[in-house]
Amino acid sequence: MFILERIWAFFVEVGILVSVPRNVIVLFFAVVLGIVFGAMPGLTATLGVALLTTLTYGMNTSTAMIALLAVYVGGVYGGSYSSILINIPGTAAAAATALDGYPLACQGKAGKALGLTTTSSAIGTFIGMLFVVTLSPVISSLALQFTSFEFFLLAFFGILISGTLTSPDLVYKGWIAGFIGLWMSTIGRDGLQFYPRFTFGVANLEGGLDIIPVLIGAFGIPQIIQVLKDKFRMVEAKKFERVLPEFRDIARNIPHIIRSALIGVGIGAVPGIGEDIAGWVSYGAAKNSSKHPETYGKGEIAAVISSETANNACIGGAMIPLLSLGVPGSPPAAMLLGALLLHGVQPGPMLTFDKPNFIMEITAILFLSSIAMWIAGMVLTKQVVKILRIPPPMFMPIIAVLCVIGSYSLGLRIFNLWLMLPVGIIAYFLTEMEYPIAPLVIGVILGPMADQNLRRALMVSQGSFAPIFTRPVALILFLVILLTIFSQTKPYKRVLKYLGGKLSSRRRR
Amino acid sequence: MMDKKSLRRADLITAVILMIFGLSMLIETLKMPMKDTFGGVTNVWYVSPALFPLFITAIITLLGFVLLLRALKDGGGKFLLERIKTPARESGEKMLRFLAILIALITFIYLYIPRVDFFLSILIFLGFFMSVFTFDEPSLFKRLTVLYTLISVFFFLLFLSGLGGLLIKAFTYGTDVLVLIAFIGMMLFIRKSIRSFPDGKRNYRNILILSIVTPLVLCPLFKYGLRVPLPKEGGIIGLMNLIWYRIF
Repeated sequence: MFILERIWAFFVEVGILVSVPRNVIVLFFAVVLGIVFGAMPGLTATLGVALLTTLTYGMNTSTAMIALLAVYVGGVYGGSYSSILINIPGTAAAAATALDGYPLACQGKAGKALGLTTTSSAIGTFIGMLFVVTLSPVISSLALQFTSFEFFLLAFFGILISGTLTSPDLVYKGWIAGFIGLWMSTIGRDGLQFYPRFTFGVANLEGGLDIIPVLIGAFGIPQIIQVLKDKFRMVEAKKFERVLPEFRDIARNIPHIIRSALIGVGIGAVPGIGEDIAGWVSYGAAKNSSKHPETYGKGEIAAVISSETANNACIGGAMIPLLSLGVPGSPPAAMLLGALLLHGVQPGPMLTFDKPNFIMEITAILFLSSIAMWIAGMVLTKQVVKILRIPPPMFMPIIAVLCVIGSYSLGLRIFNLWLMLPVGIIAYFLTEMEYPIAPLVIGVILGPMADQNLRRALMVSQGSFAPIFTRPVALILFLVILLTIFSQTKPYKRVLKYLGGKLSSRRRR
Repeated sequence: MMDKKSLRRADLITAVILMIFGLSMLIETLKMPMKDTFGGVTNVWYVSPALFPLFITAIITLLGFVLLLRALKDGGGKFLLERIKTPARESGEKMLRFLAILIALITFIYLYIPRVDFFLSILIFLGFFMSVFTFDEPSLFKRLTVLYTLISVFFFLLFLSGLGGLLIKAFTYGTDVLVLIAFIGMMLFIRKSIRSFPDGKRNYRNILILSIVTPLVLCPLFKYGLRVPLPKEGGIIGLMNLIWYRIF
């Protein structure tokens, strides 16, 4: 009965949203905008969400969420266009798609590949949505048992795990990026005693760093510099005819779709890990489970379906910790968190009390976004592909202007621009030296949560750390943090190697 | 992305910078009230505003040290010495491109936006930024970057010397007119330089259209659509106001 009520409530929510014509227009506009952002190499879903946040300021929360989630969904999916048609992933999330998507296009199957990725992306988003509606309330109610110690450890764990898993070089680099982000979050007057920290007498720093300029700087400026500095050139896109996929192709790949969606949701739920990792892991899983792994990389339909289902399912996964714990699951989700705060929505366990309908509303928006994405994908593919002809030196300067106006217009402070550029240049150098940017941004966002909860927890315990060891969730989080840190040390690796050796010798016997 | 040698060398330098940064911030943190009274509140260590920064800065210093050890172990020190002994020439073209990007962004954000009409700031920024990378011919790239830098230096000196203020006193939109003249001059220079380029005329036309259309769309969208007061509203925005409020 309860499930039927939830389903009914879901469709009521969908009906309420689509009954407002403005919402429908915004939905399709944002999805197409997201697809354009995803398809253009150098632009990402994160940047799309970041720039659109500015435009949603005057909208009501529902319409704003429609715009932002639709651009997120469209952006993650849009990356497949350039992956398949020009062999250049529009976003990192679609990098795995290029491996088999482009060979398919070379075989004259670009339309088929695009049709299948569109459908599998829509299914992936839909499955992710199912997990949001089922898991978020459960995790929220569990999180209600959390005290300040748990929240401090959770924020700390989020930064640490995101640093560990996103670092392309040394794991310490991810941690360093995360802690620099945490340090940046401490700039300004502290929330408890109003003491100015690291302001160095600059009045503009007293209120702290605004999140949006930091995010736009960290994600936008490095993209602009990289694309223009490295002489990025577009190549002629492959031609294609029919896009609508055949049902039997989808039916044949249902196991891949389900497995990839589960991988996507799981990876999305880990703080800070984005759609790119989901795409690669899913690709790897599909290849390992295939009877003909040698066909991978040569135009395998299952490969394209797997990576695209996973990266879109990751959106739902990323929304789960965001809504239930206030911890973003991916870089675009970090942007969404900034946007939610801007609209007066505080994600976390109290969300179900403050706005009881909000999770259902987000679920309905994800559902509508996946439908809008599928329709736009089927109808507008040929038109959207035309934008791949625009040379980057023409659109990147316009993106720079959008970054500037986006950073300025939220706080109406020119100081935000003066802040955005140095943050962007530092982020560019960090990216060049293979530091991940996601942990830095997550550090900036989760810093206040970690700071306030640490001090609040110690106030309650009168300066004692004992509750960490007496509260089960806190203890588990603490042990996981220790394990994450020690997993990077030599003794741990030696023990692991020793155990591995023992195990293999026992097997041989 | 860098190759492994350059990466380890960069790691070594970054590690030292991080340690210096971490330690200096740690010292700054120690100046915060730990057990003293601040604003009538007597502190205990666990509610001190220094507690969290102390934790963060200590970890940054420690991670900097770990990175230093790792970089040294992987030959970062050796690679750095090699580079000092035989300085390799960085790709001059890439460096120039990077400089052009920085010049465009820095002048746009720190020079034009706070002082010049927002429409014109975007116009001159896009005119330069799009042209320099679209035509992408080494000789024009250098000449155009130098020209734009000279224009920016002129405006910087104008504002620094106070002449800009005097000009505005004499004629409210004086600096705006100068920026517009600079933009037209720059575009005429580009037009003259690209005559022999394949697709030169078409690209030039596109750049000109985009440079004008972008602020023409964005300024009204933010000003009248989102009701965001623009950073500096000069002659062109004033004209837009006149037209907008006359119509609506």
